[in-house]
Order: sequence, then C-alpha cells, then structure tokens
Amino acid sequence: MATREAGKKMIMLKSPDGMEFEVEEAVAMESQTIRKMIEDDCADTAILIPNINSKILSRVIEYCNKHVPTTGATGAAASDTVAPAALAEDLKIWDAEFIKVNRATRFDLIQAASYLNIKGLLDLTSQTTIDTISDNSLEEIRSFLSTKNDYLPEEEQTIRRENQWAFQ
Amino acid sequence: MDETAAPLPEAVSLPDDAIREILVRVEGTATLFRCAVTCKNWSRLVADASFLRRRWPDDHGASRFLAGFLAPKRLDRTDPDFRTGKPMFATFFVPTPRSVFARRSLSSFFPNADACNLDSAEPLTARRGLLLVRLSPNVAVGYKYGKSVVHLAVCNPLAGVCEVLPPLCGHLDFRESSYTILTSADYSSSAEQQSLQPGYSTFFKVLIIGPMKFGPPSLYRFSSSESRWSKPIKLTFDTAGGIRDCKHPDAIVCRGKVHWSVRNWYPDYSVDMDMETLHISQTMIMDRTTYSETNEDPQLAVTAEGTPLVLLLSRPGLQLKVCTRQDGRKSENGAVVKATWLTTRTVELKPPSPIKRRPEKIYLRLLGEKSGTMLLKDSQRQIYVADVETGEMEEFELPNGFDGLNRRKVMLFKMDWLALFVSRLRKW
Repeated sequence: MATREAGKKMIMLKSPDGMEFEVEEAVAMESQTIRKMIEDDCADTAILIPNINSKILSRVIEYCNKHVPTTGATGAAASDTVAPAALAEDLKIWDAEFIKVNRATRFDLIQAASYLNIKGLLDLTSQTTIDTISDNSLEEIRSFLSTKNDYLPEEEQTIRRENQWAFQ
Repeated sequence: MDETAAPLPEAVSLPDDAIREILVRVEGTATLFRCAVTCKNWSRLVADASFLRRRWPDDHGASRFLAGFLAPKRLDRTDPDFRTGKPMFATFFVPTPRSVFARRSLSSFFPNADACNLDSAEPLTARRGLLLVRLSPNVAVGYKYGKSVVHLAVCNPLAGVCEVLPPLCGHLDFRESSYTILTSADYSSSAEQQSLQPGYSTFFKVLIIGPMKFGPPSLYRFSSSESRWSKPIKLTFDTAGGIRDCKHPDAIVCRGKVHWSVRNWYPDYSVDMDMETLHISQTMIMDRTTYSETNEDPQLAVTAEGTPLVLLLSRPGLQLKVCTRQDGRKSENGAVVKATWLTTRTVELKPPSPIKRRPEKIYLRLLGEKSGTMLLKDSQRQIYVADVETGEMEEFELPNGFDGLNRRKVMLFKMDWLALFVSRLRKW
C-alpha cells in the first residue's frame, strides 16, 4: 500500500458540527469503515463522519489512540518492553474507566462504534449494556433501553404462558 | 450502575444495527428471549435468519439441546382423559432439567390435530424437530390379505403440524423394525429435493428397515415429494448375516449414512446405508471379549462434529466406553471391505453427591442419547441426565405414572434454538 511508507501519515476527521481532528492514519484505521475509505482512496484531505458529534468523536479517537499499539503490525514492537499479559490487564482497567459514562453517551458510543465498525469498542460498549440488563425483568429492560411495549396485554400473557422457561 | 435507577427522561432510541450488536452479545438464551419480546421490532430483529445464524454460527450441535423425552404415562384420576376400568396410557412429554417446555401430553402440541389419534401414538424416532409416530398402535394395526397395515404420522411439535402418511401395508414386522426421518438438511448437496405434494409442509423421507414375516429383511421408503411408499427393497448383505430384530426403534444419521443397530444371532451389528446409493453394509459392534464383559445394549450415537459412535455402559459400575468406527482393509476401488467398532476411550461417570453407593453396587441403564446428553436410569428407578464428554450426571425427579421405562419406551427429543426462536417470535 502506498500510504504505509510515509511513516506517521496524518488523517483529518471532521464531525458534522464543524470540529476537525487530526489523527495518525494507523489510529483512524482502527475503524474498518475508515480503513475501507483510505484503501479505496476516497480520503485525500478530510473525512466527514456524519451522525457523530465532536464530543463522541473525540472519545472514539481517545479509545483508538489507546488501543492502536497493541493490535496489528505495531503490536510486536510494543510487547518488547512490556509483557503482553500485563499490557492486556492495563488496557482492561483503562477500558473499565473509559466506559464509566452516562447512558446517553454510551448509546452514542455504540452507534458510533457500529457506524465506524470498531470491533473492540463495539464489544466493550455493547457488553457493558448487556451486563446492565441481563438480570433485569422485561419492564426494566424496556425502561433502560427506552423501547416501547407494543404488545397488547393478552398478547403478552400468551408469550409468558407459552414461554415460561424464559421467565423463570 | 446508578443510571438504571434514574432513567433519562428523553427517549434514547438506538438504530436497528446498534440493537443487533447488543442483542447478539446477550449470553443466556432465556435472557435473549426475554429481550426479544420487549417489543415487536426486537422480536423481528431476533427472529431474522441472519441474526440467528450469527448468534449460533456453527452447525456443530451448539444450537441444539435435549428438550426432554416422550414416554407413556399411566393415567390417574387427575388426568382429564381418565376412565375407570382397565389401565390407560397416554404419550407424554417429560422435560429434562431447565428445559424450555413443561410436562404435557403429546397431543397438546397439536391443538388442531385429531387428539384421540395422538393420545396413544407411539413415538418411533425424532430428528431435526420432526417426530415419527405410529397412530393408535393398539387399534390401527389392521390386517389385509395377510399383510399388516400400519398408520404412521410425521409431526412437528413446534409448528403444531401433524401429517398422516398413507397407510403402509406389507409383510414387515413393524414391532421389530427400525425407523428414521431424513430432512432437506440431510440432502442439502443433492437434487433430491423436489416440489412438495399438497398436504406436506416440509420435505422429509421416512426409511424403515426390519425383518419380514416372509423373505429377507427389507427397506421401506416414503418421500413427501412423491407422497407414496416406494416398492420395498430386499436387503442383501456382503457378509453372512441378516436381521433377526432391530434393537432400537430409531437410527442415527451422519455423513450421508444411516446406521441402524440390529441383532442377527450373535453378536450385535450396525447396518450402515449410504443415503444416495442405498448401498448396505454391516459392521460388527463388539468382539467376543467386549461382549462378555457387559450385558448392556450398545447405543449408537453421533458426536457434535458428526462422527458416529457406539456407547457401552458397564454394569455394574460407572464406566462408559466410547467406540469409534475403524475402517479395516480397503479393496482396490477404495471401498471399505471390513470395518469394526473399537473402544477408543473410557469416560468415568460422576454421579451427583447424594449417591453414597459404591460403583460396584450401581446398575445404570442407558435409556437414550441425543446431542451428547444421555438419559440414564438406575436400579432404584432414579433418572439422570449425563454428559457423554465429561461424565457429569444430574439427577431429576420423574413424575408419577412413568414406571418401567426402558429403551424402547423412551424417545429423546432434541430441540434447535433457531427453530424455537423462529416459531415463537415470527408470529408477532
């Protein structure tokens, strides 16, 4: 690939509210969506990221910055000095700190991770949400994820009667 | 997390893609189901074929589980169909621990079918969510010109569909025969699938082998694409042998072959048939030394990866021998001339802690095996489920009315999560 030899090539990311973020190409390529754009040569000057505001985008970049040296081609260099296990443990603690955000921000992060196709971030944000709802009742799941119950009362009764195994 | 206590007032709605990402990571199957029925949109997302395939990606058995078994129950005064007089039996579904079903009669799965027919129906084999039953075995075995007439039906308990096959009339000894169902999934690579005849909701084939009242053992075939029984095929064996009776009413199917466990005189064989060519061969299950050590029935089984196995349970004791098929010498054209089933490993069964008896005092019987889960019964009439890989045993309570269970009376029923989710969620 032609872009590789330039060393630390920088990429400009633009949020719809007008903010611009200059990031290393390797960091931006944590996102499979952006990687595809770069590889298809659709990214000469700046990449506009629709639907993701500057606040969320800066957090996504923060995540990618933290995660980039441990994955892909540069991973080998980092592991010379620090044991991989310790590094992974360190990242885990960092992730746990990173995801301590309110619900609305976390949902925004899920959307951003889903659009930008960043597997690690998607795993982290979705899994944290799952951990919150796993042990909750239907009503709690609904209120937490703001879904609206559109079953008629008798329909819901039928579901519960036919599927007692899921409600025990 | 504290934000659950005080949900934000504004509606935060996630796009479908993000919801899918969350739902596909939900761990427990029950939790996933609960999530799926929070609203109709989620129900639709989860019941989607591509979502379910992503959730259960491989078809190596992870999506299948033992839902329970079918067995005859002696009716008592609390059963609505009870009449005084002679003992009455009805076929019931008994769930294994944490099953998705409750105990119920077989006919209750088919609210629109003729209930009187299915109440006493005898389950013969179950595969891929389909169940083959003999209808009212006490009434319907008719005789016609010296031949027996048998009424069979193929049922799908999840869909609540019961399809009665045309009566089968022949010299086959139906009580000593062995049955299997093949579905489109078994024939995925071939052109076997044809348009369905009216009256059938899915493609299936029924194969029966067994001894004849006159003449050599034969193979009977029914296909839902033809809606009729083919002319029976006389079975010829390369080696000296034949079929005196089939040990079990059901067969196993793997890698394009059907395996039946049969007895001639001595010892036990498996009859192996190629699904495409219908070529038949026989494989000895045990040599004389193995046979003298145990008096337990060998049980044919299939691993999650699709390898055929024979399971042998020591009596007394807690040892399970697992035999795999060893192909012997091959002829010039590469066909296997002689194969045998040899013990390749021994699994120590681990009973639950309440059993204090010593292994040499424990007499277990294998009632059946599906998806790596065995159903066992001990001499104290206690029932267990046990894992073939780990040997871990779990005890469970058998309800009243199910006395005298044996291998022929019990039919294990395997369930597929994908099919279950689709059937329970698509209607919303």
